[in-house]
Amino acid sequence: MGKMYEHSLSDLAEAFWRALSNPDVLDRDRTTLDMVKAWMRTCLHSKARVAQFKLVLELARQQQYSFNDLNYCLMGLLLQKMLEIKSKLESKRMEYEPEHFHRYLFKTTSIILLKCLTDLCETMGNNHNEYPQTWVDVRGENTYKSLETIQYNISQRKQALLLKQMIKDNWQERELNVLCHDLESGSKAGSARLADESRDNVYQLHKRTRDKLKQTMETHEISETAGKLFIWKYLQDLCQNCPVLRTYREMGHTHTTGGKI
Amino acid sequence: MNDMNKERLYEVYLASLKSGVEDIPESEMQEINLPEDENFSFEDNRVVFTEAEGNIIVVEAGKYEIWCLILEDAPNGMYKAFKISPFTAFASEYDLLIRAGSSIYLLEMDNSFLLSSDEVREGIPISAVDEEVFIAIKAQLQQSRAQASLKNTDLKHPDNLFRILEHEQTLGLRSRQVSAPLWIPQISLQYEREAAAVIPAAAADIGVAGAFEVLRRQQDENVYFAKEYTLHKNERHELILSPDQGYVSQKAEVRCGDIVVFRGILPESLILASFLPVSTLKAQRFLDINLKTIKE
Repeated sequence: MGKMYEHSLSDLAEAFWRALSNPDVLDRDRTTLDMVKAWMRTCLHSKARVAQFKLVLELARQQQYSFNDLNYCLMGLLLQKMLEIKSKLESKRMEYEPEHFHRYLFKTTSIILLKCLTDLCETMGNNHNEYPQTWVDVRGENTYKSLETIQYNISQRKQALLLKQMIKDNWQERELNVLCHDLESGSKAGSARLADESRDNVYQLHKRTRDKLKQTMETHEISETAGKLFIWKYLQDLCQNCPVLRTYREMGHTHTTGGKI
Repeated sequence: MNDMNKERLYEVYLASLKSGVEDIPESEMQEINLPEDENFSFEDNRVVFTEAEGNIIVVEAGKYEIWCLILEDAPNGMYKAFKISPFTAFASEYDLLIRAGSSIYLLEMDNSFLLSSDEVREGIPISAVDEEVFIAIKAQLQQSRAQASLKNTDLKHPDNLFRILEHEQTLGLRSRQVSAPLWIPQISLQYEREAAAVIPAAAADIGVAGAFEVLRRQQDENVYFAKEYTLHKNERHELILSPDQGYVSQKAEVRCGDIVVFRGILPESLILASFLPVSTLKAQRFLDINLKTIKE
């Protein structure tokens, strides 16, 4: 197989397989992540996919989506769908010689990428939940989509990041402190925030802050799903940079490190 | 989805059917940069593959890669499969939306065909539906389809072009089932959606006197003769195309307008429609049928 970057396609296939075998490696091994990016890049630019990829890039540009976000969602969708069929890939890996398996993996990746590109394109067109009533839906009773899956929905991701930015830019520190307390108090470690407030006050503050969050979402037309994604994925990051305030009252306070779940 | 986005999605769909001329040189490849400080996490949602039924596979058929769901065994070691598509935004009253793993696909209830066990074995498995969804699909396929609420009879609209191209991809596979009615876009996408608009007389109230006139003419109207074939109706009111004897067993194409609805070895007869309550002459005019042999 040919050379791609400084690695052969077989090297890239093996790196992709390493990522499928243990996806955590993507967050701690930069080399493997780079090789997986190179693998996806090669598959996207193959004869079978390049035309669609270019059109999706064009659509993303027209609708002002970030290319980095698009790549992230594409890679997340690809890995999610490939992980789902890992048992089949494992059996092919046992059955085939390495080079044959790498070709098989390339072909399968390329096919799955079509579904990922289509999902991205349909999401950017924002047509979800617009299915005509005449359609028969047999998606199963459990239509719940996990946040792990939703994080790769580029439209929801964009909204969740917008909400993060709105809060970062427009909320007072003491308001964010309440939201962080709400988040952290559900964890085992608890939260040092609002320690000087009575239980009743904390209850009221949570309610008021949740209402403000809801209002912020409504003002910026952010979906409930994107709101959940923000809380699950991005609020923690804001809280780690938000000083721990023991009270809601405006007064001098001692900065301590942010809470961590 | 608005029409502009639908047009764009249709372009992506068209691009998915065509392969580029060659791989792009590395220097021209788009860089894959990711946002800083992002991490990945995944849902544990492994699909369970079976021997065949319920699996979603991709098979090569001519120049196309056909995505399909294997439904069940068929006689002679074949499997019955339904075309599926990742382009869910084009779904119509002829489709089911089905879940497989974390993905939603469109299953085309009017686009089924037979695959040999070799074709199934050589196909690339890309997902599988779980038991609950599989049972629901089978139940839905037994029922009559939902009524169309939209009356989109424009064959040049992306929704209908999508459907025509989906059937074009499977034409060779569908032509294996000579006893099944052909898929004809003028019938499925026009007549069945808005009969009166496409064949005005079909839905007109002819009255009692008119009915006697119809009976008188019925003998003549039940047969239409063309040079290469005869159109007639059988006792079940199916519209039948019978090629002239010189054409039977030859490789041929049947077109309705400019759309190929059959390509393969011509049998003694082909079913064009299960029920089309107009004269064969009107059917011929409406469908604009022509038949010609093709070389290998």
